[in-house]
Amino acid sequence: MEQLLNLKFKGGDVTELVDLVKTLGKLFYLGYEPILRFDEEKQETTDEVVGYEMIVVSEITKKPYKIKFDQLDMDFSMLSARDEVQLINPVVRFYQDSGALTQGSTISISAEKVRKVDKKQINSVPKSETVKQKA
Amino acid sequence: MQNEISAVYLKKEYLGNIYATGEASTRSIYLNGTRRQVRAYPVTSDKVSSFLVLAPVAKSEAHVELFQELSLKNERLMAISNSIGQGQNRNTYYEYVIFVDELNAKGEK
Repeated sequence: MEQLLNLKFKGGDVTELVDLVKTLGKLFYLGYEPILRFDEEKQETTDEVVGYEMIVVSEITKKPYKIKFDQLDMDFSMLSARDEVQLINPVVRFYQDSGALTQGSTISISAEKVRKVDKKQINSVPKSETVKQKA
Repeated sequence: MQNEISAVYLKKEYLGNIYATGEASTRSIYLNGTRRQVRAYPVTSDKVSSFLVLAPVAKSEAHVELFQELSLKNERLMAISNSIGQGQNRNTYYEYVIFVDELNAKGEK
């Protein structure tokens, strides 16, 4: 088949064309974890925090997703499990599959900040997908 | 940290109006673990030139006229792999395509 595609994205960045609302719908907070620096020489994880991963569940797919934050001044204390959250300046990257043709898609999502939308909570989040919230 | 997802939907305004630029051909792809026959349409648009749209055979037009405007339903981004060469010279490369649930010609053919 002829190759004539101009769909190319620098570094896989598809932020400007992805409809996140249609793809994931509302996002509900489950918890967060610090990202710790990995020492390449010692081949071990250090105690140094270099960012955070927030875990959310999608209203549409009902699956959990990890959102990366590079900022160290993140404050998740205002969030409770199942709060609806909004990502501020999200960046979405799309990755190519290693399957024979295609087995689905892989994305990574990062954001500058997160904002709590309101106190309304959902009941449709499967209990098995609830992540223990860190203090 | 990468997240698996079954569909990455696109904003309607990103592609603009879509026009066929050649005959559709048939491809066999794996979609979420299932092999499916799809039609592949070379297209262009107001905003992105020359890309490929894949649509289910049963939900797409077998023949479209050159530069005919097309109507798409549920556009989502997909990366598919292709191989060229044989043996040790075999190389795999990826291309981005748009997968849709339905593809129809707009207006009269």
